Amino acid sequence: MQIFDALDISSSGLSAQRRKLTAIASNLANVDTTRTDEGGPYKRRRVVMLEAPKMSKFSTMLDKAENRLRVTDLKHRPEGEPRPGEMFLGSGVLSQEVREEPVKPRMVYDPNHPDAREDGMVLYPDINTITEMVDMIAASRAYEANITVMNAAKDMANRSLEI
Amino acid sequence: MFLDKVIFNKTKVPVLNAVLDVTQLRQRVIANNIANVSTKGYRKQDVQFQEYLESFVRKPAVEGQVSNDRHIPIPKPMAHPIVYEPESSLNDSGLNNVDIDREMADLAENHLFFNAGQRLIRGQFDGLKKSISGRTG
Repeated sequence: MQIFDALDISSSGLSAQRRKLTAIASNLANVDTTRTDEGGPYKRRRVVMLEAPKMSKFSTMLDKAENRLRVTDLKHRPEGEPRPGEMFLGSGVLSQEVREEPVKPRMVYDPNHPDAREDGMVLYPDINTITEMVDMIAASRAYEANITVMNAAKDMANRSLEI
Repeated sequence: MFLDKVIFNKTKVPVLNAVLDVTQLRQRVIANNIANVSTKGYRKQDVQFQEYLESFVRKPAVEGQVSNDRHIPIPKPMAHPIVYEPESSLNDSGLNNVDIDREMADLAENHLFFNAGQRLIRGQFDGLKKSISGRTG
């Protein structure tokens, strides 16, 4: 139902922004991490947003067409036709997490550090705390915006029960 | 449906029904725009709701009378509202063309529009109820 679609879309936005906040929290917590399981300094986590596939995309249509029940008799009813205009509607956002290879690791001369190289340099992750803080504010504002949309959708659903 | 023809089509219920439908569709489209506020390359969408609603209330130059089920109504109301991608330049983040302030304003407007439609349609039904029961209150 359409009113619940709006809730689904907003919740996909909420989970994507929360994921981004988690990645930022992890980046800030690991700003001085020099040792990881895969070796080397901590790699910055970054969340990339993708648009959820639309109905009109070829792959989505093909998926639907393959699984569609065939109408071989006039008395058959066609399987769920899309609602008018639904073809072009988006269905929220997807997020994907990537690990960034450090472009320019922060180098600190500290020969007594257990992770120091032979030349006495220690590699630290290249995380810019200011960038992270700014991203954090942007993500939390986007989260709030999605909550506002969700509240509006809920209020509309409630009101339509009062008709 | 018979009841539709004798009762509801004589009231404002059909156009208010369209108002509620189109505001719910627009709610969905705005929700999608806001959910994709940080998606790279996303293009915002909007609903042509004004044209759609006007097609219900516009007084046509020629109006055909429908006296048979097989008649085609003249003029024909728009079948469904159109979802389109308005042209606009990239926003400040450079990722997409979603203007968050604009979307939040549209959301508030849409919400109020829905509430207005809901209150009016309730009024229509209350009126019908009164005329059926034949008493006030």
